[in-house]
Amino acid sequence: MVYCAEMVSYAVNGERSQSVHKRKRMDGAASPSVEALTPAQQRQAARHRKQKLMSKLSDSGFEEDLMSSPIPSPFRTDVPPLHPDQQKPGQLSCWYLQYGDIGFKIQREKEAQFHPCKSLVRQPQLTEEARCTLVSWLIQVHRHFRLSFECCCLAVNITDRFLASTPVAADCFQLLGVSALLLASKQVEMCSPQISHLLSLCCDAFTKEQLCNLECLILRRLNFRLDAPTLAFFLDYYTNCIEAAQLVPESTCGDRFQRPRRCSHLAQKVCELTLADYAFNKYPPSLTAGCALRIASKLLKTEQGLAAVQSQEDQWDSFVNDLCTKAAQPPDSPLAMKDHSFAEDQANLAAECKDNLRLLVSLNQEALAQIE
Amino acid sequence: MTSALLLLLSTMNKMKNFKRRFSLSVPRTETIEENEFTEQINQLNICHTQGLTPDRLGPASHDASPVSPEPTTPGAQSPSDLHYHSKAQHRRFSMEDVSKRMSLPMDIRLPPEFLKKLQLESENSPLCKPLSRMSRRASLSDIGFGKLETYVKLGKLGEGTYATVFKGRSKLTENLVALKEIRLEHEEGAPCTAIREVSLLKNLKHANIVTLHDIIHTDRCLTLVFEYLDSDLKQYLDNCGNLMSMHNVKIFMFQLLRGLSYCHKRKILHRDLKPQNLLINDKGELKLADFGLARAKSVPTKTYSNEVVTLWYRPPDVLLGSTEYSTPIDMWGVGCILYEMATGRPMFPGATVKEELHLIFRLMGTATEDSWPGVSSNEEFRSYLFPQYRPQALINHVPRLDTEGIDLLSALLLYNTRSRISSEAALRHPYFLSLGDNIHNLADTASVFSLQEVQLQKDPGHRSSVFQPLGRGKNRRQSIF
Repeated sequence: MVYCAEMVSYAVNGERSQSVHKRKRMDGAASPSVEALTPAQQRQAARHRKQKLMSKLSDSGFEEDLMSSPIPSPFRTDVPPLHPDQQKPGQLSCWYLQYGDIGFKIQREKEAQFHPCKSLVRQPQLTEEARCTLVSWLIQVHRHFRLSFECCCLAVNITDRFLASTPVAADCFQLLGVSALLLASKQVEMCSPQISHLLSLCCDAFTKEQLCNLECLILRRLNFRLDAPTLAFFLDYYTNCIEAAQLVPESTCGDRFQRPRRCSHLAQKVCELTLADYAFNKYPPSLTAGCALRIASKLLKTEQGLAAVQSQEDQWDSFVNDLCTKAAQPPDSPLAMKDHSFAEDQANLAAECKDNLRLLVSLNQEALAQIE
Repeated sequence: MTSALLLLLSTMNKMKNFKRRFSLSVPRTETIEENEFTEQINQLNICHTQGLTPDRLGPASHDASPVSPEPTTPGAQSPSDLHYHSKAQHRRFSMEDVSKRMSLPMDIRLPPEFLKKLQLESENSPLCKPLSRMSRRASLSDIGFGKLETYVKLGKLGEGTYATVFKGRSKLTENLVALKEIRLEHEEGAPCTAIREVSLLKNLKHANIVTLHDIIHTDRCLTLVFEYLDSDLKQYLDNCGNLMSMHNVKIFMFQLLRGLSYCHKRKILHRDLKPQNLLINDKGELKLADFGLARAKSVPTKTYSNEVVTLWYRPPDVLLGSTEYSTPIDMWGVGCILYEMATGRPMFPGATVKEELHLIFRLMGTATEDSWPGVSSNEEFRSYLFPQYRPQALINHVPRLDTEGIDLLSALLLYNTRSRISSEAALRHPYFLSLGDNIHNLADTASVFSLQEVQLQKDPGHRSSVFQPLGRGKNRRQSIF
């Protein structure tokens, strides 16, 4: 860990990523689907790709450290696994069985109040690229401390909502990221990472006082409202729905539990990509999670080909589709349902989200394949 | 000043990374200036809404240095810096004017850069846009919300791990309140318990959950203003000589489950249910208090202040080190509380984890693979080498509880968390049939006593009447709340 992780020189960063971008293209590494897109989509594609590359090239150097370091970092050994996978495969979560549907409704109703829309609009110094770099780094950090995906989503949500309220200097951005992660872990984890560990991941560019002060400021700005519905919640709920639907005895396929699990795992990776991509900032988490599951299911389907019974496949597909529409619809509001244009808007938003996700996934196929 | 942190931090880092700054791609344009201006107004706004008036800044705040270079000295900006004050009055845009428009205390010191900007702005355009929004925000605090002065401390109710609780009165409403003062300066920043309690309670609006009226955030301290309830279940039991009317047991039980079900639907766990955390007012309304305090992971036996943490209401899965935290962990405690109300004595009063488990197994039978799938592979369980107790009939231990009550109790005290009854299902248990149907259709914020058919009875063991001297006994075992 030699470099300092202050996120300052975006100009340099941008140039670097541009050149890599070009090289990649000449290598023919770009996915063929990109060629067939409209010019607007291609521009978008280039942006997505750029962001992805940016995330690999952040000048902090931490991502590389965290991702590929062959020697475990000193913390890694003494950080106990905070989230042992409790749920046995094929077992629905207790909460889902007891409260799932009503709980889902409540979270859906709460969603809008916690949804940070256009968090960068008021930011004079922060760019989409900077946000992408920060979030990609946070994703690595959360994994490093073995925090839950829920915690990661919440940290990004806190960061965005704070950004929507307060202009932040570019060189404080990373401090904001770790402070948000610390707050998120205090909210949802049983143990939070130590402040000194968090600071050392920032190469001790900031002091503990600065972190604590910002922590307090975030709490004030967000008015202590940290109980936000997250991508992780909706993903978990949908996965349980899928598993519950598969519990019908007619399905004799051997991988009846494995498949939703794999699908949900893949969907989680897709969701991670969306966290870092500012273009997805505008979609509510329930929608993104639904679309991510759908895409993941499609990906697995083509991959597995004839491995599973076709009719079951279709059944499953339509089920995931239903879920996706469930996410797109406003929660139980008859008034809004009557409002035709509103429903249409929602449908359009869902379609747009799906399209963008497909694009994002095709641009990040390599990264997703690695995870598989 | 904490609120000026970002600005100061930015200044610090500007100096620190002087060279790097040159490569910053975003040039400092007019837009940025404007934004910084808004930022500063916002910062001021915080100082204001937090009620950072000079009389509460304390002696530490009399730092005469005009610019505090360190973000680490909160409150270092002197409120009584007349220098700036008088200077400001010579400006076309007088300091008084600013303060008036922003409803700031007259003697608050504004940073010089801010005044300069203000001057610039005033020459071009009067500061309208940012201010209108701000004055609207400030008005809430004008009434007295968010201000410590609004509440009069009456006396200490108790001291807990991370907070001190005072009885108080609101000058706004003349109502009694409980003031929970939480110290924010800790080794690891703001305590997670405080963060959770506030963030969770803000969303919980229910007749059986204690109401959080107000939050006052000062520099080192966070004060939560709760509605005041003068008793808790522990004290209630003491006062009725541990002999409650079985009808009242049912009403309390229903209220407990009602509050809990509301939380569980929101995936919120209480994690530290015990009679001391169930507050009761003179109407017999029961409310859950003390959210998010317990960490499910470890089983501490003592808090930092050396106060003994009770294990009596902990489920065996948590005692055996389970870190899975889901809604069933609260349901075990509900069972223990039902038993305690019905018998007048705690169900499993163990002092250590081993004793606690031993008491549980002696009554409910030692856990087997049948009653608790997976227990035989639990290292801790195996290391204790408990004798093979057989489950005893609960009716012999809780003779006053009817058949349905015993059935509910058994469903709450199941080892297997997946079969343990949920609070929602428990509310529909036949045990509560006698309370009528309407009780299930109440609005969240309506008390069960808003129904005519639901009324407390006189507790047989009570000294005088049911309600009156709901003891303010000296021996009150005060929980953190």
